[in-house]
Amino acid sequence: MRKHVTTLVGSCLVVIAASATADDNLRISGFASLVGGTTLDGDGYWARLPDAAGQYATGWDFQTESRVGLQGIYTIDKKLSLTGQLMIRGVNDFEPQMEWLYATYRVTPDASVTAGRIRLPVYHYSDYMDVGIAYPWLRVPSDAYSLALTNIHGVSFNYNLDWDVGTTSFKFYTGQQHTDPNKLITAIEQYKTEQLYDDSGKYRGVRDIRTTKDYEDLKGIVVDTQIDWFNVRLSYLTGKEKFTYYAEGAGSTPLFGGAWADTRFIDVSVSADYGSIFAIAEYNDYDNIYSSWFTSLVYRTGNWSPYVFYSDFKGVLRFIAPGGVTAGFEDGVTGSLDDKYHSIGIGVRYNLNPRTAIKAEITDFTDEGDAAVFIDKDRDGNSDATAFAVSLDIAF
Amino acid sequence: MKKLNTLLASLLLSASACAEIAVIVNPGNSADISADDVKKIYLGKISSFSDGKDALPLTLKEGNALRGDFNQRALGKDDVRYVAYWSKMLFTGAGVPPKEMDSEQAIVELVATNPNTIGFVDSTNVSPNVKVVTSF
Repeated sequence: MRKHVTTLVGSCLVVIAASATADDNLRISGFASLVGGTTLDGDGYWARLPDAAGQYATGWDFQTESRVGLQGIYTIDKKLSLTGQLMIRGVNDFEPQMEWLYATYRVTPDASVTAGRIRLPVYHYSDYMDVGIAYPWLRVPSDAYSLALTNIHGVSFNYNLDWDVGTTSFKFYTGQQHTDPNKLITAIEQYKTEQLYDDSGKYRGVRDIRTTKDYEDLKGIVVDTQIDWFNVRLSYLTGKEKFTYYAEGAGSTPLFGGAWADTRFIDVSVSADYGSIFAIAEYNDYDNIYSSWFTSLVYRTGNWSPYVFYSDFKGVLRFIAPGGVTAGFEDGVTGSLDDKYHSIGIGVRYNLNPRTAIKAEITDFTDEGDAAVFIDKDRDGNSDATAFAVSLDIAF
Repeated sequence: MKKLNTLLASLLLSASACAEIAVIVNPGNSADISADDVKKIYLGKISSFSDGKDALPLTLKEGNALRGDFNQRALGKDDVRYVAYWSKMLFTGAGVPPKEMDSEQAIVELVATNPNTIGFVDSTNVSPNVKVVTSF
């Protein structure tokens, strides 16, 4: 039913878009990324993007990260507008889904209130991580972008301050979201503890578990300051969340989890866009769950932009299922598996024209923890991999 | 002959590179507008003039040479970075890019009649019914 409604809403939006493009009040624009990747070394590579996108197990995959976004902004009057963004993602079998739908009221030229389904703006690239044309990498270095929540239902208040030397934008927001299943966390848990092997020890897939994550009372602030070529962005979020883990066939009785816990997420990024150099470092800390960061250097020369990045993830929280850990490679002190990994990426972007870019990247993923991060055929908890991917990114 | 062609080409290039770009507003607009204000308005960092009135920036179609020069000189962005910047702004709901006009003449005509607009033209195309606030 839900799927049908989304499809219907999607088709309606397209129809509205098609029939109303002549209307001056409606601005339709869009973007697309066709991404193909393969694993060069290892059992498989997974970029761990929202909705569990970015999985490359065998051969070339052109679906998992490919996506098309269509956005319509309808200006109702000088103060009020409605924005809808429809995302068609390969990871969701190209079923259209309403990514955002929100109304914006401009209180003054510098202050506005937004209400509806909005992006959770915790990361530097949260708002436009789908828009490949707007950043240099094939994908935003994903080790540092692992939050299982992408969009929320809520309200935000935005204020732009121009203080002559620079500008600072403030965003205060509140909202909630329930995800069932939470595709990212479900897949992480499946590869971490639920890989299946036949009698001869051959990998045969993952157990069919389900996890959900509910987030409520989310309250956050983002302060983003730009001084000429220098940017610093601070993000702080608090709220409560509930993680629940259901075993295969267990129906609605959770195996564990199900309790509300206070949560806090902070993120800091510093970037410089100076001449032909773009450099950025971003760090985040998810209270009691993980900390991650990345840094990157991009050099622009004509239409070519080669880049390198380093990204790192270190898990703090360890779930212990009833009966303990049985996979055979548990941590001696706490009895559960730890998640720790980093990646080094080397890539290049080439601009065919201002609205079209092609990119290629080699990603070398090193698994330093006990837990398997993706397919682990030899059952040693090590999921090192080297992957190669290409993309075509456009804006229209 | 080849040398002459090269010489002519470089002369033409330097001529186009030296042409001044005038930023124009309606004569009734009495706000103070600095080069920095122009940059902020065209990048959507501010959406009003210093007197508080709404600012509606106008540009030319993508691929237009004058637009490319203006983006480079006034905003410090080449075409690729300009599109990347406005894609980010547009798809995050942070703002919409400057309105694209068909010609410099269309910009002059709209600026002459609409006090909220701000535009740019080659300085040789400035007409008496608009006011030049700065140039690049």
